[in-house]
Amino acid sequence: MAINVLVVDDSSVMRSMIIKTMNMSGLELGEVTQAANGMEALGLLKEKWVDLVVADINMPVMNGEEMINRMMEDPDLKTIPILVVSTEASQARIESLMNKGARFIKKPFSPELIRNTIVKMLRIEDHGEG
Amino acid sequence: MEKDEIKGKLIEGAVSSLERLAFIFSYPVEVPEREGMDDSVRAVVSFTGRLRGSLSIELPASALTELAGNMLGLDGETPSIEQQYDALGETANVICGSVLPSLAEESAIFDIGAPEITPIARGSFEMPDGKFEVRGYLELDQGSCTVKLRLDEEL
Repeated sequence: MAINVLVVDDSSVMRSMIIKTMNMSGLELGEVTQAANGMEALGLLKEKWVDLVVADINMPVMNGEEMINRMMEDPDLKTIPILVVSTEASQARIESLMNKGARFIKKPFSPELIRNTIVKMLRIEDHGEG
Repeated sequence: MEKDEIKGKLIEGAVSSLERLAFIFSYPVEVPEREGMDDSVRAVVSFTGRLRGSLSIELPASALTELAGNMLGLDGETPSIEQQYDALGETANVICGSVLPSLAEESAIFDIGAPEITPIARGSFEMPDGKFEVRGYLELDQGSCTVKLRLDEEL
């Protein structure tokens, strides 16, 4: 199953790293779309369907938590799985995100970690790397 | 928490972040061999929450090509200046996210701001501004790296 992903991070380098790591993990990626903040991401989500949103928390214009809150309020978007990748990994922050249905991994992350997390989130069949 | 313990956590966070993000290997030193001898670039991230302050990393300008190139997985291509600065800012962010949780209780939440990037001409030295500050020095192949943690209040 090819996964259509929206990667949301204000750093273009980090977006590239996330996509590179997902490719290295052996996950089969379909269309990969990028946004620089939550507002841009919400606009893109209105135009195209994705299987997964991978998002940072600390971003200008609209941060990741606000974006998740808006997605939860939108019947068209609330079922889309969200994986938060952030440098800030306090237990309280992780619990707050998990209560909203999101999953969390800390930057930097290995291909194995992102693969295992996404496989569990999307309940896709894991045939192993590559 | 003692200043030496904080310095240890700062250095550990910087060494492991550079290695894990960009495959850049460094080792800590007490006195930097080439501080101020190269043009360099500084990234500063401010944070609020359980602790308030800022964290900065200063790398020789010549190290930024490798930092950004490795993070992006570029093979032979030279990353743009924007990509180099972006990579340094993300590195500061990751070090900050690695160090702060080790300085506060598990339930503490922090908000880490957007990185500010400043080129520094060789020969420039920054004086401490009176806040509680810890500095660590690392040596890389390309020169000396300085990491600083400033807190509004002593721990």
